Amino acid sequence: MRAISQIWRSSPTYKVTKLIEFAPGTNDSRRARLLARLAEAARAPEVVRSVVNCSLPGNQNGGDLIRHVQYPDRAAYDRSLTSSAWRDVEGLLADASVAGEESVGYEAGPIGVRQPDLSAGIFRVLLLKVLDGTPQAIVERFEAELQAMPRYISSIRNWQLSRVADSSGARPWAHVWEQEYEDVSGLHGPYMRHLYHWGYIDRWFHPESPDQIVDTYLCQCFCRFENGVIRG
Amino acid sequence: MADSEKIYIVDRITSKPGRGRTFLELYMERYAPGARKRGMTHEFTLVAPPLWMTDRPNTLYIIWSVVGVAPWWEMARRSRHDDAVTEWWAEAESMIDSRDRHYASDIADLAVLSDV
Repeated sequence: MRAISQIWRSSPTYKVTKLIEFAPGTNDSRRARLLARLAEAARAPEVVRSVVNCSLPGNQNGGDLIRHVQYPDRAAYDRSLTSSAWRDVEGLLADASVAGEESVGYEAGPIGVRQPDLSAGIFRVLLLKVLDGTPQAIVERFEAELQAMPRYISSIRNWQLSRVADSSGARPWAHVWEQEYEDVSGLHGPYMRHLYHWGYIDRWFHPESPDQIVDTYLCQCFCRFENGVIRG
Repeated sequence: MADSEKIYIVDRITSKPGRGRTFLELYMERYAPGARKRGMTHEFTLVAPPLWMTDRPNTLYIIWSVVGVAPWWEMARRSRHDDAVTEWWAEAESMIDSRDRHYASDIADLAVLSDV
């Protein structure tokens, strides 16, 4: 079995993830055109890694496509805001075919890598908001337990938990929990069915649990990727 | 695959002094019917110490079950988005000193439940 490499520190990499929802009635060709143009904009020289793809069925408040872009650091991201590529993105997202988006910007948090050579698979994003007034020590315990999931659930091949710096959408998002799987069955099977998930972690999310600290409104979305997304 | 193993839902509630009996009556009247509709089966309830205290707390262990992981998620999904459940626990706060909820299984089922 391959050893797990876990890097318990943030990197300067700055990530921007948008979950984009199409307006009702947007036809397939228009969706494909928007997707292609967003993907093209993500190939700007200042971008070090990206995935832009339609979300797969089964997401939760996750929209129709994911646009995930990584920059070397926050300064590079800030510089990109004046680039033509970024203006293209803003223009595209203002298009009538876009009904809304959830958007988060964040320095990449602690990363874990079990399969660094995973070149294609499923990229999954969960956006969550911690309830107001939650003590920082409790938040840190929650973060530690969430990051420990892959220790028990081997279908999570690579993962990263980050704290959000900039957020817009339905909630002021606090965390982004990203994972890579070899295929969808790793998410729908072991991830959802493992004891550690439903028997232990879910208490942070469930309003019946006195331990709940996470807002019940979540966004989770997943898509295929063809180049590794979560890398140290 | 874990589809026939019993998963226990254990509510442990320590009441405010003298409120244990009233809490349990209201729990069974207000909370239990909805829990059954969400697929939970009431197994049994324990009370400690084994008499209703009038000036001290009682601790209650209320044990429910569902059979299989998919029904567990269905139960959790339904209560997560049921305002009546949240309202019940908020109202019950005045009778509760502390509480926690655990999910548990028979040790004999661990191997099957872990086979995901």
